[in-house]
Amino acid sequence: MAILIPATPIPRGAITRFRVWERREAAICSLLIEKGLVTADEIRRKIEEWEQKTPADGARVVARAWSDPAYEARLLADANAAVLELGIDSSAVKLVALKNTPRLHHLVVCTLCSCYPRTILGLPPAWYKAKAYRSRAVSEPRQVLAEFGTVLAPEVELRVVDSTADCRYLVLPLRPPGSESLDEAALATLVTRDSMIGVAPATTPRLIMASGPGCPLAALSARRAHRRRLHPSALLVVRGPPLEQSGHADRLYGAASWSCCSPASSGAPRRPRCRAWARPWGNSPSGGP
Amino acid sequence: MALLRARGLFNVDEMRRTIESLPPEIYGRHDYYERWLYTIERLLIEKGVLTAREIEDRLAADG
Amino acid sequence: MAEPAFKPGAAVRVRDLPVKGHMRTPGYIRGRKGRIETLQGFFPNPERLAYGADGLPPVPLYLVRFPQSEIWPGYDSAGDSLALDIFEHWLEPAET
Repeated sequence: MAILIPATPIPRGAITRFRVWERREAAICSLLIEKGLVTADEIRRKIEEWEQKTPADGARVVARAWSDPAYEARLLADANAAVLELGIDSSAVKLVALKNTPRLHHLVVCTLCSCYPRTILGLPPAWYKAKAYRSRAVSEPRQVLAEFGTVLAPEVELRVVDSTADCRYLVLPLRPPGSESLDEAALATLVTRDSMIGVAPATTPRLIMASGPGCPLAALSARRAHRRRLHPSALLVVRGPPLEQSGHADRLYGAASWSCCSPASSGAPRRPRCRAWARPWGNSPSGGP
Repeated sequence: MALLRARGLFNVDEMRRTIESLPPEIYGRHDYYERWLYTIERLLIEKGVLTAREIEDRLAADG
Repeated sequence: MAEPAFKPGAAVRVRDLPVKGHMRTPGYIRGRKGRIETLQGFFPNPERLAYGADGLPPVPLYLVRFPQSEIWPGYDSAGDSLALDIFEHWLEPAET
């Protein structure tokens, strides 16, 4: 709203090229400014305030809950107070956290309009506000999840929560496997907006490396991860003898993606020294690597 | 919208009531933000803050 | 404020009130039977707020959980559920 408002009221005759609804918006805003009900600066600041709210706030909350069981308990008991501990003011609504477990998965929708925890996640995606999602998320939620690439096992209870009144819901996704060694800041990068709505799980760390000392692959890893669209924070470096760690990584992530070889010495055959595993960027089914 | 609510001009349920009562031809033809614009316009007129004539005159004057 | 009429775990049915105009109880849940999950608090009545009144006294608001199979004929995942926030005047006790 009001994306066209400049610092001063719009001069007459200045808005001739825009689409019909944008002209109408500008006309209404300029009238409200002239009548002294709002100022252009207030509109600008309010837009700025809302555009600065992002899912990063929600991700911080989830990462803290994953790292600190006592915080998680406070979050589940009184989410407004708990998010305020992290400097997030959600006092305009009653915020409720919904914890996913291996046997329970939550999905949030607002069938009646587009209620969404904006104070902690920012603005909702267009699909969340669309009739298709609003109607199908309650009546055929498993099909909707599958269309987002999320397939739940039959024994997992899918609980859809319809935000019909004054409460706003934040899903606490399952902490992904392979994230045990990550600190809170790194954990937060695994928490996506979609995982806090419930259409997808949190991102699983994708790259694990087993490397020997001085491994050149470790130095290349960040650049390769970036080129191949793997999130840098999803990198796990496992130091230690390659063979020992290789078996563990093979079991978790399948065949190695990259390897580097020890330098050949005269007469000696080249042999793999380091190996790296990676998967394409994307989500995996709940509960799996 | 948030500013007008903060001024006490209308509340979120009045906004919801108004968007729910938009004629089907407007609801179906316009996107999310356009529907909310029409809603605010109707509420501002209902509350006597603006008149339809003022809005149309402003649109006409601005070409 | 008045005492809440329902406790967590109570079996309730959603009333099909003849309300015209704005309400926050979706049509798909009318007449369905569920259980009280929790009391969310007391909030002004949106049906009155929508017409410029103050919506007071505040009304108890409950999170009520329903088996999906109770709502949609032929829903094929037995354990799934749907929860909504419903104001007290839309609920009546149900047989357990």
